[in-house]
Order: sequence, then C-alpha cells, then structure tokens
Amino acid sequence: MTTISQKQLAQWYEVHGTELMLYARQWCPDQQAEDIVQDAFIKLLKQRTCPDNARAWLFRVVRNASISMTRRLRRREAGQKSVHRETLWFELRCDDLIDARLAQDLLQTLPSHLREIVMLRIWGQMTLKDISQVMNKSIPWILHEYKMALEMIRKKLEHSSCIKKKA
Amino acid sequence: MHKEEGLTPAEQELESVLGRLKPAANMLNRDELMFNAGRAAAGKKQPWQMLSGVLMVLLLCSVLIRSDIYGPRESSPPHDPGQFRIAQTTYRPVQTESPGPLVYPALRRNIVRYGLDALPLKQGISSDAQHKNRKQWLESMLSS
Repeated sequence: MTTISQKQLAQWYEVHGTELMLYARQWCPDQQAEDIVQDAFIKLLKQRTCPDNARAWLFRVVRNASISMTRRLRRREAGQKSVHRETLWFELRCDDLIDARLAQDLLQTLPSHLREIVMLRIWGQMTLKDISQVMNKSIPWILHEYKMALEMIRKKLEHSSCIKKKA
Repeated sequence: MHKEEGLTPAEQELESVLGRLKPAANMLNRDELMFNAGRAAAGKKQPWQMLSGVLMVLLLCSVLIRSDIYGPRESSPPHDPGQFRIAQTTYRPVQTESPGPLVYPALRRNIVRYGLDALPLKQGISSDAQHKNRKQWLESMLSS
C-alpha cells in the first residue's frame, strides 16, 4: 500500500483510459463519460494509499458515477425529447472480422447487465473474479450471464449474416 | 484476455473475434487530466496546516479585541533629568472681609486648599493701609 504519484497516474491513464471511456459510454454521452473518467483518476490520486487492485477500483468508481449520472440525466430529460448523439464506440478498421457499427448495435441491444459483463471481460480484460468485485455479484453468476451474453451475440451475428446473404 | 475454464471453444473464438475490435480513442486530454491532478494534489491540506491556520486566525482576533478594549497605549516621552517644570499656580485673591458664621465651611475649605493666606484680615484695617504697612515693613527689611 503506497501513495500514488502523478507519473504513475499518467501511466495508468495511458493504459486504462480508453477502456474506462468505453465502459462509461454504455451509460452516458461522450462529454459526461469523459468527465466521469477524469474524476475517477483524480479520486484515485486523492487516495491516501493505493488500492490493492487499482484497475478494478477505477472501473467500480466509473460504474457508480455513470449510474448516478444516468439517473440525473433521466430526471432532467423527463418530458423533453432526448437529443443523445451517438458516437462510435470502436474504431472502423478494414481488417476486423466484425463491423464496428454492427458490434456496437449488437451490444446496445443486450440487457444492460450483460453488456456490462461483456465489456468488462473483453475490452476491460478483467478476470471473472475482478468482474464479480466490480459488480458485487458471485463468480458463478457472472460466468453464467457471460455465457448467455455470448450466446445472444452469436445468434444475432448469424441472424444479421443471414439477412445480408438474402439481400 | 484471460482464458478461464467454463467456456467452450466456440465461445472463446467469439471472445477473441470481439476482442480484436479496438475501442475508439478516447477524447480525454491527457494534459488536462494532469493539470487537474496537479491542482487536486496542491489543494490537499494536511491536518496540522489547517490547525495552525485556525490558531493564527484566533490569535489575530484576540489581539484586535484586546486593542479595542484597552485602547492604544501612549508612549511616554523620554525623561530628561536636566529639564524641570515650574508649576503654574493661579493667584487666589485673599479674602479681606471676615466671614460670617454662615460662610465658615467655605472659609475652612479655602484654608485647607490655599493655606493661611486665605485667612481674612482684621476688620477695621483697610486694604490700602494693610498694603502700606506691608510695603513699609519690606523696605525696613531691605534697608537693614
């Protein structure tokens, strides 16, 4: 348990900043997601001692802040027409086996908790144990839900490829 | 990505295919983050700093309150032993008429205050005569 230097914070930002932004974007628009991630790093710096698992700590802070922000935004936008502008979650690259837009659409159709598990597991590169700590659920439950999410994605991918073939 | 037990080969393959997608570069400005981090770090106050600040404010308040109560002290001029002051006394006219019984307390007060000079002169001697006698007496004293 040591204190955190600004140099260390900069290194963590380089490594985890993009993953945390992607994680926050599933709940919030870009601007709010950016603020939330930045606040999470500042909070980490303010800690007297470094958390044992700083990465999981950052994801948990971003998760809590994003959920709170979503509730605030919902209350504010109640009765108003939402003008949420969608931005791409992934980079558009030719060599990817799955189209980035399609992957984003697939993820957005998943139930929120399944989408969260998939993001933490695949792009957050977290173990099931870390995910269980972030979401405060048991490891078997996480594994079960993750398998279910993958199955749903696979079916949707097959469905979309069938549509393309017919077209 | 961590390979853990419980996933079928098909699921692991789908996992790896999805994992190749690269998240869009975040819009976070690293310099802005480091600036905010520095500001947050500078804003951190230790408990002893806060305590000493509070004590300093209390000390200043107590000094100001004391000066208001007692007022500013006058600085005494430096004492010069060679300089003497001559007391200024006012001349009180000698009462020439003898007081009646009703003015006795006033007479007593004058004697206490000014000494025997406040005693009234004898009746029947006019002030000119008294003045004359005193003048003659002084001249005789000086000539002898």
